[in-house]
Amino acid sequence: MKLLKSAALLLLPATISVNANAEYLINLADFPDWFQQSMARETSVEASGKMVIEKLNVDAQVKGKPVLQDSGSTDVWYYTMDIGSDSPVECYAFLEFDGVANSLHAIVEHSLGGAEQINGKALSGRYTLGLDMGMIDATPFLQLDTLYNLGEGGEKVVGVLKGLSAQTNQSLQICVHNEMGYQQAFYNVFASFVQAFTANDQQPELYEATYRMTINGIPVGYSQEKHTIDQDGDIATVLRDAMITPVDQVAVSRSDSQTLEWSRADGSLINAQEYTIENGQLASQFAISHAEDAWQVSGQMQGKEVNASLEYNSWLLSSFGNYTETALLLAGDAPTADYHIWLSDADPTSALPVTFTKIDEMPDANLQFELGPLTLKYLATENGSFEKGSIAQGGAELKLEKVYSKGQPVMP
Amino acid sequence: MNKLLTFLALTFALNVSAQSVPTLAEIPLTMSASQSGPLTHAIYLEVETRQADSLVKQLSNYSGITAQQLNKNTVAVALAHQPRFIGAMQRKYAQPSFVIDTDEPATRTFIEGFTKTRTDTDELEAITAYVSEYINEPTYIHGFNLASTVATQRAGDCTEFATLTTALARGLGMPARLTIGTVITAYAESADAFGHAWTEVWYKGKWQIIDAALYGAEGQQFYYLPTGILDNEGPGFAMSLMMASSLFPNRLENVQNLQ
Repeated sequence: MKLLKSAALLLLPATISVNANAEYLINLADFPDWFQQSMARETSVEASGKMVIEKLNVDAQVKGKPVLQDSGSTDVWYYTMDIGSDSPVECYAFLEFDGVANSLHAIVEHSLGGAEQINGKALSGRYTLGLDMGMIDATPFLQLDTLYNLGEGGEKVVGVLKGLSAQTNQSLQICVHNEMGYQQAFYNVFASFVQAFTANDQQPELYEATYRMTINGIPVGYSQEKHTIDQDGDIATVLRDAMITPVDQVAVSRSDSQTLEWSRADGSLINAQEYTIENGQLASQFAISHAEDAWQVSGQMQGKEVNASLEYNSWLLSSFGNYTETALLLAGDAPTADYHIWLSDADPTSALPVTFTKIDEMPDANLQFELGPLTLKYLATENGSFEKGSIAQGGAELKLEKVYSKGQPVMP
Repeated sequence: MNKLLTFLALTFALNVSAQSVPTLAEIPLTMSASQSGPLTHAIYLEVETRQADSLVKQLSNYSGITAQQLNKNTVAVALAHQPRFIGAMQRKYAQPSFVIDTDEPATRTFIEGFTKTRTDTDELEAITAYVSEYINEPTYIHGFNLASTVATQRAGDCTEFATLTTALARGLGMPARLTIGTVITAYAESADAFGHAWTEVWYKGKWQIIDAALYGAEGQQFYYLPTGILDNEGPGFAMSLMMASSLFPNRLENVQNLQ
């Protein structure tokens, strides 16, 4: 039965494409008619042009007639795309970058500075207009739209800067459009731009999944996992998290993190390296490995060195192990399963005990994950894959939902 | 998934307010229908929480707070605006730590800056005012910065204000601890509540609250409902934050002056 269900799951369509219609944090109905009409403008982008970046293995037709501008760097490519509106869409590809969230915010800031220069007026007001997360085929993206004013009094003008950001295998793609409306046209150009970077991808992953995160209904980011088997039968896992959180009407906090983890087929950790960039700063960087009969951690947090040997010296559950052990728990008679995990964000100097417990709150949850005071109720399938879950704390509820997957978290 | 879970937990733990209006740190508050006029020195409220028994236990460590569990998810609280921790002064509250790193050059320079400009005002007020002015970029960040980082960047939200305040107090020889909880701000006709962080200082033989983040902020009264402290000031401080913020109220109901 399990095999049949797993096989059936393999046949499910794995790609979910989401159009970029950001969740607006400001009620547009409160604005004058002319503004609402401007925001509703659309156009169909029929024109396309060839884009070639040899260094990134890109050779594709892209919507909006890309014109390469001089970027002044061999690791940055800057294009303008004419979509028939007053302002072109501007698209960047970066070989070196902070991350989907941090870099998008940096480009938005840069573009607002450009708007000040072009108009000869200082920025006099700004609001976070919209945030969103979606998928372009297998690639997650973040959206950040900003409403702004330039100048004062009778000279004051209003503008909307739309921004989209995605990381493909080798590089980061960001597009911005400094004009009201044309939301779908802008998204279509961005999607076409991103697809140019993924067209030649080879994707040998065993399992790949992306989870959308919302806080109180606001889409704030995603977590992406890719698990690959190496020639020794070990699993290489790449985890990428990106998050843009509104903290008030104006400011957003940005966080990007990446983890490279190796684990055995039984779900035990071999070693891991990870880093987190918050608000344009390297917040932490850690590595863990087993040496001299102990788990050794080295790294830094906010520039301060941290080196430790963990007191715990046994089996650590890996990210891939979450799936294998969840599947075992669901298939067995035991009500709970206890493990230790290493989470540098929580405590880089300790192995933390966690408990998985079977619960019956269908259709929303069949498992509960406990880490210290944190309780996550979630729904997992028989093969251990996470479908959706939620954590409630204070006045906030955070929800997670799988929006993309490919393959199965099961060893062949 | 491990990484994601921590990410989420910290997102919650660090949603605390500074001086503007935070989106995610707000805790819904409803005034009692019988309440008219401004809130005064002491108030009554009903706290809806997922861990009522743990919250009652936590609040029992304070004078100026009376807490009684009404049902599984509700605690009745009588609250003075400046509750006082009644626990002992521990040696660790006076020492440098990984987070309250008074031994780092940037923090030491910051502390020396205070001692050089020190005027003859009330000592706790002087500390609060100095930190409030020193952090000249009050902004929300998705993190929790060490005292030396705050001293260098001069930016942050209430957790950074509290971290630097705690460091300054310790640097001046006063034991201090960083406290996490909810602050209720009372205005002329209304009130609101946010997740918050502040400092408790051992001064003149008792624990006293100082709050640089809200120093000079709009509001007639501030009421502090502590749900925990940064007990682990080492590299694993995030677990302490998670623990303290796990007792955050879901909502505050029936808020009124204490009869």
